[in-house]
Amino acid sequence: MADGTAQNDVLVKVEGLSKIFKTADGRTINALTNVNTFVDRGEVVAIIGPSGSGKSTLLRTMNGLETISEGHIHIDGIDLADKKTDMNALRADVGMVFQHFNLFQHKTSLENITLPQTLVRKRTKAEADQIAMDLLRQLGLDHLANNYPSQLSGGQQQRIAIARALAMQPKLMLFDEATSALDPEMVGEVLDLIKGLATDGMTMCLVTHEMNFAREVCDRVIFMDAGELVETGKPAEFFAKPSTDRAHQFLDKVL
Amino acid sequence: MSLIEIYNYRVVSQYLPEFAWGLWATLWISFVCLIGSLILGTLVTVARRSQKKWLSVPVTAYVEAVRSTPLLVQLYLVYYGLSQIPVLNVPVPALACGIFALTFHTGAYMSEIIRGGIEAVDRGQFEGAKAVGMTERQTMINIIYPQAFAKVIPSLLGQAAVLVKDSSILSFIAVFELLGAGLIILSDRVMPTEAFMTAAFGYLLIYLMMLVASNKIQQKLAGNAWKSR
Ligand SMILES: Nc1ncnc2c1ncn2[C@@H]1O[C@H](COP(=O)(O)OP(=O)(O)OP(=O)(O)O)[C@@H](O)[C@H]1O
Ligand SMILES: [Mg+2]
Repeated sequence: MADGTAQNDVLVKVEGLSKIFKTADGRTINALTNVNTFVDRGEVVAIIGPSGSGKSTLLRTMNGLETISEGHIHIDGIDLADKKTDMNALRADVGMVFQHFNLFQHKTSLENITLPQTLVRKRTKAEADQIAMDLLRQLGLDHLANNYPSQLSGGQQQRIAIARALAMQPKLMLFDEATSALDPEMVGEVLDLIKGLATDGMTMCLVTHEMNFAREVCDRVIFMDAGELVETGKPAEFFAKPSTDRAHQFLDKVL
Repeated sequence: MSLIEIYNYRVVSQYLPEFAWGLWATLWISFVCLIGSLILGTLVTVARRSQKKWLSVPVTAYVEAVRSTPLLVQLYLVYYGLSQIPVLNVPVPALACGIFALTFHTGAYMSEIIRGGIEAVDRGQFEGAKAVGMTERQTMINIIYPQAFAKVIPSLLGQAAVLVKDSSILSFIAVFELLGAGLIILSDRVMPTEAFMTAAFGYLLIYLMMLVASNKIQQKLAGNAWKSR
């Protein structure tokens, strides 16, 4: 896969990516330094690493929530660093799931899922309703269609948020600590949903602290530290025998 | 001492038509200014949040200018100022000047309230909308403004109550309204208590009406479950 023959399979290509934040008081923070990686179509990648290592920043640059300071990200051949790229169209193709769900508070579950479809995908209300209800049934959430986010548990909110992203029929799904804000008893239902997506062949990048989940479900692990991509490998090998000291130390702490 | 010595309701009753008319004038003038200032306040908020300096700077100056000068001065500026613009060789009616000045004044305060509402909307709402591919404009119209307005309804109603009271200032440019009705008793009979007490009752009456209306509006919104919890 390393040579040119299998290039069709690469969905996301990250090359020489750096991200520098400028704070209000004029300091600069190198959140990402020369990161190179890729995600194949259908691949599930876990991004792990200590707090502040740049995991969220890497994910957020992948759908343009953060701009790119240096380097390139190509998603399905589209260059995110290119000023001419329609970032709204790109974001519609890249689903993002947040730690705090970010459901539209003044809309019901159903409306949360239909609104982006009608506004961004230009689907009719009827089409959007159809897609939303099919999805809700599939995920076993159709009884919550008319509830507002404030009437749902965290786990339910997160699953509705995932459904909202899926309704856009994304090429890629990004999860930033999707279960970190949940009560322990609700983590399972969200992880099960994500597992189902993996089985269906969805391409996904997950920032996660759930090491068991990463080991079980993901095809590859990316380990980040201090803004650098330190190590990447198959979960079985990475967790059993990380090749860098930094990864070793990290795993000692979290496992 | 009987009541009639303190407050001569017999005299007041002769002026009831004037008061009814004044009450009506205050009501509709306030209503027009309320609608106008809400529209103006929203547009000003949009302009203030703009990246374009030529838009945000003058509008910010407008808000600060209104907030730092007395309403009466603004009213006089409009009233005497408009009559001096050469193109307007027909005099602008005092009523139009009054409505313009009040709307101009209240719009600045409304925009401050609406801006506060936008700032109170969780950052995650912006990100959630952005992440599904909504444009800035779609995000503001569909997600942010509806939530911002809902958050500040009590403050908007409070400002509306201030507007009703401020409308009494139109008496200074001889626009007839509730206070004007009181001034008629004052000039006819030289009875300041009757004049101003009755006017005050009128404002109280409007305030109570607004209180009922605001409770109704809030009940309606509370019925929208998203506000609960
Ligand atoms: N908007 C921002 N402005 C300034 N600095 C930022 C911004 N966002 C992130 N950073 C900084 O960039 C670095 C990487 O942050 P990032 O959020 O990507 O880390 P993370 O690996 O996701 O951490 P965590 O596990 O705590 O979520 C940190 O030093 C952080 O303080
Ligand atoms: Mg993070």
